[in-house]
Amino acid sequence: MVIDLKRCVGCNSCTVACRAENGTPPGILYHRVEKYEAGKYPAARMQFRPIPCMHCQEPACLDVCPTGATYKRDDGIVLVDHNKCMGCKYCVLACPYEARHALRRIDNYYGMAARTPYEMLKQRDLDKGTAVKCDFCVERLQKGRLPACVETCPSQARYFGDLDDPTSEVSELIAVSRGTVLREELGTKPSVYYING
Amino acid sequence: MNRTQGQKEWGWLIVLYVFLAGLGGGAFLFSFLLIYLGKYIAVARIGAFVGPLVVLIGSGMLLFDLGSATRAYRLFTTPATLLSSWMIRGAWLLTAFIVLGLAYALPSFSVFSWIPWDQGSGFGLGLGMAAALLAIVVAVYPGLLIGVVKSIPLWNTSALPPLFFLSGMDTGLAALVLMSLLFPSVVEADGLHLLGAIDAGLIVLLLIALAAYVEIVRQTGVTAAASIHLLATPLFIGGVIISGLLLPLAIFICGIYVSDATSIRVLDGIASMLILCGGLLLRLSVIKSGVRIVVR
Repeated sequence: MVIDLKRCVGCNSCTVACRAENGTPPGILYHRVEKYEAGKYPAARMQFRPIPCMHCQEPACLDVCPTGATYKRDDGIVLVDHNKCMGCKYCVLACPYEARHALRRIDNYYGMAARTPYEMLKQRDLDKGTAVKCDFCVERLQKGRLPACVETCPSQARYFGDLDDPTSEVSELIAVSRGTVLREELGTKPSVYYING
Repeated sequence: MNRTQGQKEWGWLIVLYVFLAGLGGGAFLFSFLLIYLGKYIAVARIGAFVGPLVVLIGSGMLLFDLGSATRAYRLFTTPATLLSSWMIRGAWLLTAFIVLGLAYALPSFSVFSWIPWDQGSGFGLGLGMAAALLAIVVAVYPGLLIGVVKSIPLWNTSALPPLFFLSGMDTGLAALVLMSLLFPSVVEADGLHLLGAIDAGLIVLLLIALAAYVEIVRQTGVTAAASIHLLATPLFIGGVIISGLLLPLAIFICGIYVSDATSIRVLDGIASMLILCGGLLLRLSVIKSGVRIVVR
């Protein structure tokens, strides 16, 4: 995935689309947008950085997982098998990008009312006590669609494709615009690249 | 997000897990050495049993902390993850230590006289030596478990495993001293002086290791400095450094000049309790003050 920070306006549509797509309960966000000040006065400006799971090639979460619940598919997507996770929270701590969460409980958004049928449908695969994270919307990918955050971005700041294919749009974008990754020094080799403004 | 907060994922249960692993490893190691040297055997036999037992209780704390404890059996069915994860390595190490340690300790009790070996036999001694080596690893392991977490600079330093190891030895010996108070006829004033002197030496080493750890982390970067800022609470300075290290050290040094056995017992008892509290608070402070690196 490539995120063009020059185009990002910090609207959090990606965060909301992610929440709607995955039905994440209160307190759990698979995606967030960090807002911070960049530069020095008088040239200071607000900067936004959307942060999904980086689907690292060398994932810190995969290294520490003691039960084999975290695994990396051949296409590079890092997933959690909820039937194998024992909820030790080691991966939640190990991920430098804070992309993982311990699902302690599943609340609903509407106080005393029960979960909505939509939430129940979306949350059918969630298992209390396990680690949860962004899965690049694998169900949508199987149907030939893009991840919800990419599809919804109103400023079209996000690109999704195959980084292993040097002729793909994302590979060319990274080459041409000198895409960078977050915290390269940690050696995690993220699959999410940023084009800096 | 408030970046001056410590992590919230691991709490008291993990604190107890790492504290009891160090304490149990230390208690067993010193007990084995005393049995091997033929000193204070009545106390050391109990210490050799209490060590693995305490580690077993600590492992129970880890289980209580799991979000889905029914799947904990997977720790023993997925050996492939041994190549990368310190949590599963710890599970195997602790299990091996508990099994070997108990196999060594139990035959010395009359209830278990049916066990076909004893501590003095070659097989028993082999068990004890293997368990003693594992005890060292068990005491180092908590420092590695949290030391490999790259996202938290307070933990991710090679200065942490020696610190936790020394603290484990220190608390283990303190537990042994407390046990020896139950056997006034076995460990007399001389024995308490000796154990106190060893413990005082350990405290000095621990003070050096702690100072080095704090200084190294403080110089590591802004996130690490924020952790140190969180660490500098009255709980850490008063509970760990003053009452957990300096006060027991002073008591042990004063104890040298006391020859009355009862007075020494009272002094050593107080010092040992303080050491145990200090060791627990050290783990609590380090785990609770772990600030994550800023990513943006």
